[in-house]
Amino acid sequence: MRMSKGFLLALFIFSSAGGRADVWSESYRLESMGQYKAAAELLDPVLKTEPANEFARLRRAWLHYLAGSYNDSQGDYKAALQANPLSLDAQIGMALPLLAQQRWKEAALVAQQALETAPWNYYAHLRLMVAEEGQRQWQTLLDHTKKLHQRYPGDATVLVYRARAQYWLGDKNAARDSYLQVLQRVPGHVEALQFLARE
Amino acid sequence: MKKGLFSQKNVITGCVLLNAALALPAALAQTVDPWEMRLTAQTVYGSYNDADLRDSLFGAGFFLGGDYLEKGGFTVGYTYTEVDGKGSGDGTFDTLEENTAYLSGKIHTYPDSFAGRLTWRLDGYLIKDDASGKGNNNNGQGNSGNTAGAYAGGDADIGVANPIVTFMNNAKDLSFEMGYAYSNYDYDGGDEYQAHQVTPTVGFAVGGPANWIQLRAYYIHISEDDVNDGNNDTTAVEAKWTHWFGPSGPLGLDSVGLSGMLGERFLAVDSDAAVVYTLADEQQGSVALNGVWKLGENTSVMLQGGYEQYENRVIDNDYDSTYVYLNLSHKW
Repeated sequence: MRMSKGFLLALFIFSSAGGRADVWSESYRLESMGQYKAAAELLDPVLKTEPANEFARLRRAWLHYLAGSYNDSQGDYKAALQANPLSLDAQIGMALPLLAQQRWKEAALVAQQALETAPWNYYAHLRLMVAEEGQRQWQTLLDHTKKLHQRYPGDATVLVYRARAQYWLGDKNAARDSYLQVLQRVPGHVEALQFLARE
Repeated sequence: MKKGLFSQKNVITGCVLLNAALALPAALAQTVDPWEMRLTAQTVYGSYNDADLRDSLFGAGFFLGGDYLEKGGFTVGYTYTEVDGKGSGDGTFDTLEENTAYLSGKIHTYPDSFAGRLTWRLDGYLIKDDASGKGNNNNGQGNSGNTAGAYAGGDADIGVANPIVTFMNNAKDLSFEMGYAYSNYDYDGGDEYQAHQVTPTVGFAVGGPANWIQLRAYYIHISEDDVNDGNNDTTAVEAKWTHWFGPSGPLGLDSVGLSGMLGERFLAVDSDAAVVYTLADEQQGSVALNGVWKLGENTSVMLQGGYEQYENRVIDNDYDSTYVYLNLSHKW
């Protein structure tokens, strides 16, 4: 009798873990198919039973962002940050739905908060560059990209933003030079090729 | 004079050294200020052609506004306007003076169901008119209407409430707006009447973000028939086209705008310009061209010239005006 109870308990644990694993794999499968809303909804019962599951919270925030549910995404990122104020994933992630809503200043503020604890975090700088471009702060963006290029000299994206800032500040030759450097890193870069063909 | 313990220079130097000591990126030294303030000073001068009563118009004023992140904002403003009349007989006036106080507040919401931004805005105007006249069939409002009110040099108190809701999609290439303006005109010793205005508006980008077209309809109803000689319902359509140049625009221009109005518009409230046309007769058409120059990232200058057609229905006078408008705007 004792053995049968233990067997049933083991079977329950195994099946629960297996069911949960199915939730994750199904969520990834739906994401890969572009069914972001369905992928996010799969995590609802997980967070209902485990509200402190940080990864589930972050993943649902990401899926809400992909689905265009930007307020839901912000809600999950906020909850993740309240649970773990040191989470760079949540801080940097929070900038995404804000940028999608073109709330440039709020996104910049969030990115800068992340940079206070991780000064050269690439993704936080990327979010900040997008926010600076959205606000058309070309000189600020140019200064930012120059400093960032020193830290990430092999990166093409930083050079693209540098080229855009140089172009809007009226320095087409410098922009051309930056786009040429982009093409060394990404030979088929569409924006760089279009600029060089046009200017 | 005793020197302070911490001079401004010392504080700035200290901050720079602190940043260096903490290895903070210099880019972070420029933190986001949640408030963005903007001060705009403006002036306008116009002259009238073929007008029996009017000679020229002058106006000057300022707006001070602040936006808190992308959550909302406010604007306060003051404008002085003066219409110089011909003042040579009955029904004429020497000068119409108007003082306008403006207060506006707005909040933004971002409902996912609309995939864009909703702006809820409420504008308010408190206007004080002071007219000095010679005649006896002008009610002092400058639009010369209200033949029943035989009083010259009448002062007036005008209040306007103008709620507006605007939708802008996330791609920022489509916008819808609905505005309603309630205007109350209270002339000393004379009539009190109201104007109700509805302004549906649509805006859209054409061929990318460098071109924006805005179309707005005006439906205005005046509560008293005799204010505009019986024509108490007026409708008009206004179209505006704005084109933004790249970094090397002609003449250093950042953008140009062309606008025009067709139809009839009387006692209109223009929420874009924050103007209530209390001093104008019935507008029957207009065209305007403007250019904007950027002086750095935070300062801009706008110059606009325009032509407008009017009719004073009370004295059966068709006339027009030309004007030039200038504003200087700085944000920080």
